[in-house]
Amino acid sequence: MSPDLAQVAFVLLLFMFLFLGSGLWIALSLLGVGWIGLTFFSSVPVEKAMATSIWQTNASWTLAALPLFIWMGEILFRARLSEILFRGLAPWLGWLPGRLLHVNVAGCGIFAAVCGSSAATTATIGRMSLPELLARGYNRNLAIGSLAGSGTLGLLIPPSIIIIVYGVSADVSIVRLFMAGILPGIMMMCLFMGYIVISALLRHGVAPVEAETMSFLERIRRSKGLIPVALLIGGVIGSIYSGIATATEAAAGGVIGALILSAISRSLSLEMFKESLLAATRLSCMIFLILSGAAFLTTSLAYAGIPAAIANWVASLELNPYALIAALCLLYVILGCFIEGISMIVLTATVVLPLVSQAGFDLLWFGIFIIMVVETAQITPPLGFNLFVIQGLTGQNIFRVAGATLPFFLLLLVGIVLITVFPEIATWLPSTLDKR
Amino acid sequence: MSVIRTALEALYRWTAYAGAVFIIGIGLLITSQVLGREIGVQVKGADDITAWSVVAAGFLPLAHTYRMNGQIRVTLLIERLSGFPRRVLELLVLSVALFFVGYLCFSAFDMAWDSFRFGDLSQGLIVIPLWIPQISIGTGTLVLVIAIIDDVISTMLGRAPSYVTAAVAASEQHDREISDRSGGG
Repeated sequence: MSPDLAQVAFVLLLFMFLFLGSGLWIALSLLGVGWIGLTFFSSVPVEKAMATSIWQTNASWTLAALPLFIWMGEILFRARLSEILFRGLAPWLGWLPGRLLHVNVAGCGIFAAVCGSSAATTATIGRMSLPELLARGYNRNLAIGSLAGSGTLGLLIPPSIIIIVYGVSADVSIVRLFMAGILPGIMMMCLFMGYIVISALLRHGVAPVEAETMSFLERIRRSKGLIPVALLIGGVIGSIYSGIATATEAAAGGVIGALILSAISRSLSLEMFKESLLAATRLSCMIFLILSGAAFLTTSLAYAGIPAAIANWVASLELNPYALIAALCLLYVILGCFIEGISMIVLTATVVLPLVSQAGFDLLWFGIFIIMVVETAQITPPLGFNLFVIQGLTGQNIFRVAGATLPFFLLLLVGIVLITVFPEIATWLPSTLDKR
Repeated sequence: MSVIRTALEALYRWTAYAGAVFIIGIGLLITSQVLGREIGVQVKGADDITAWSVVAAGFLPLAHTYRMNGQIRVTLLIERLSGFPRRVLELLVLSVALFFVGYLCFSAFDMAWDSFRFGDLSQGLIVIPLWIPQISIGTGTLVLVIAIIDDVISTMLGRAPSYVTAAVAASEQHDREISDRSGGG
């Protein structure tokens, strides 16, 4: 990288830290650094470039999936989904050593899949499941840890909002990303459940003995609330995978499905409809503004040639690609102490994506990788974002929460290593799309 | 004074409702497209109208989202401050925000004005002047500019800015729910 360009990059980075650190809104920090870059380090007319880049990013049919999936999540969120999941899953997972702890894992996974934020999942499911588990005498550490860990794995399962955001930022097909996330998501679920089973077998008293035994019919009756949820998620994934629907079309179907589901569970009302819609409006407005800020920053940095220069510079170091990946991991883990997942991805996409594709990594694989890393970052002991959510929920000291979460954090790292060594875990399923 | 207050609140609320209506519209458009495909009817220009609605849904509710503390920021430092230093930093942040949002607003109207001046038309199946959908960015950011000025004034008068009030209210409600749960078993 030429000394001039390095100086420009350094100045911009400095402003980014200054803006973010002082409490300027993340979207405006991105926009602002873009403005500084273009105004002082190029001869491009800034007012023309700004609105045009933002218009081009946002006026997109693909992006229509975002507000719709968010709305679907907000409807389900208000349809007592956490209760339905908890009641419905319990009869089926009770035979596994560790019993209801598995409900925590599966419930969080499904909830996060439709809700799209691990912090919100942790808060919502945790509010319901933690008091229940602790009252029944489950091991406190495992209850807290499985909650923190599982909120993250759902973000790999479609229809995850964070996947759509990455797809838009990296210009990778959302359908393929959705498919790529499924197997790693299942893998993480198995790792978490396996860990709980082993702990329950090794240590007595992790899970209390429950006297309740149920007939098969009784179980079916208890979990009939799950059927619409399963149909909804299955329908979204199935219609996308089979090619019947695009992600955007599946999202529209998802909203209708969620409305029907909430009508069945008798939680649909005009008030709830309005609340869910306004909440979805705010959340998507927030994401759109961040995407807009990032779009303009990308344009600005591209005019200055910074991402290409950094990519070339890193290439000239002739790093082992895995060393690059490890360095990125470290960067995200640090960022994860301050910023929530979606912002982290958008914030870094401009510089990191050219770097990664230069190093020869598949951007489809990298999407799944980065989502796992970003989510791991949020439960990094002792400062991860979601740990504070659990602290707020339980009143426990942050170090105890971090200690309880540590095994699940390590399992996530194992998962990251696994998909790095065997990228096929992510890329195999989407590759079957091409063979059809 | 209270007339202005009422008018502002209505402005913030109704732009948010407009954004919400666009989200419903996107859902309806896509559904009608899917249904239309089944029965062999093409919904003319639905792709373009959907894309423009996404912009409107994203930008019209800016002020409301901002006031409800829906726009995220890193509060690690600013939340540790209180009293006068906090007010100074909030004002500083608000001024920087005002400048960038104001610039974006200017840039958005400039783009729409260019489209109007040069008579740019949309490229797809449905042909309309491009400045019409483009104006939503300018409108949304203009209302946000007003909301930020609103907060600059209240902060100078010693009141807490809207998003701080909203954040406090949200966390109080959260605490109430948790104590309800643990209290009620």
